[in-house]
Amino acid sequence: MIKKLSLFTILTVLSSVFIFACGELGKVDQGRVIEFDKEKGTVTIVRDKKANSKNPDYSYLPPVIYEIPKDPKEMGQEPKTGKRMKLDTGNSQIVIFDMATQNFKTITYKLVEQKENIGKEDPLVYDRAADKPKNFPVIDREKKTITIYSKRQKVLTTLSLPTEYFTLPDNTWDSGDEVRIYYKEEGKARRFMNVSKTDIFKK
Amino acid sequence: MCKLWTKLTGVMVMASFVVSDIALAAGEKASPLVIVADTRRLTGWEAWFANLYNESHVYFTLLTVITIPVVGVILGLIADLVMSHIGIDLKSRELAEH
Repeated sequence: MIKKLSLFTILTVLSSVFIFACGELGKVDQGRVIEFDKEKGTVTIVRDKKANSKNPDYSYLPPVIYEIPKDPKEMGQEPKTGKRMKLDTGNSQIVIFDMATQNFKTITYKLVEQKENIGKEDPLVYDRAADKPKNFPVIDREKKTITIYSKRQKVLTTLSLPTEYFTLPDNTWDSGDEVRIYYKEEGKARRFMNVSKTDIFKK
Repeated sequence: MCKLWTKLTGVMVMASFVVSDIALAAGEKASPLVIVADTRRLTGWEAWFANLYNESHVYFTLLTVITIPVVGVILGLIADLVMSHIGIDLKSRELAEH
């Protein structure tokens, strides 16, 4: 009797799982956050065109807007916004997202100093006394220089730009957090992961 | 009876330490750890299984828990079949000792 009952339970659970799993599942989107409105509950991202997390390509236009999940348990850490899309150290170019034209802008810069192979815990970018990363970008409006740290590229670059660019907001030179969204309905996130701020190996 | 009371008192003392630890740990409220499996480059059953994780952790867990023993039984039966074909008889044994 007990055997029959347990077999029946297993079969019921198995069939219900399969019935559910055979239903339509959602999709995943990933990109860099350029805008985040906590009050409206929306996040705007520039999608990663290549879908390759090791070598992303943030060049998909127009930017995609998602409603963040209503359930706080499905929402990871709030994202940091930024307009820097690419730092091309080889060609001395920086690509930013221009809010006015809603398009990308490629700016050629003059290199002041560049340090390569800088890990995220390097004393140049990490404050050991305070036990937290130093704030970047560092904008020097007098010297007309900007210091950028790219964690993915492991490069610390100080560059010089024409005066006109120093009227732009500071986050123009910062990269926004990379986020991953699970959705079923276009524009409505069911689950939101902040990839840049999620360390699954940290206790 | 005395031993039982000693044990119960010990458990209560330990429990009080655990409670105080929880209270100390209740510092700044941290954001929940939310993980979304990247299914952008996956196809077929891999995409389906990873998307099931994104959809519901409960269903993903249930399916994994049920699938593992089922796959184990299937692999065991296949191994049995292969061994009987190559002449290894595991169903009977002859004692070598006399």
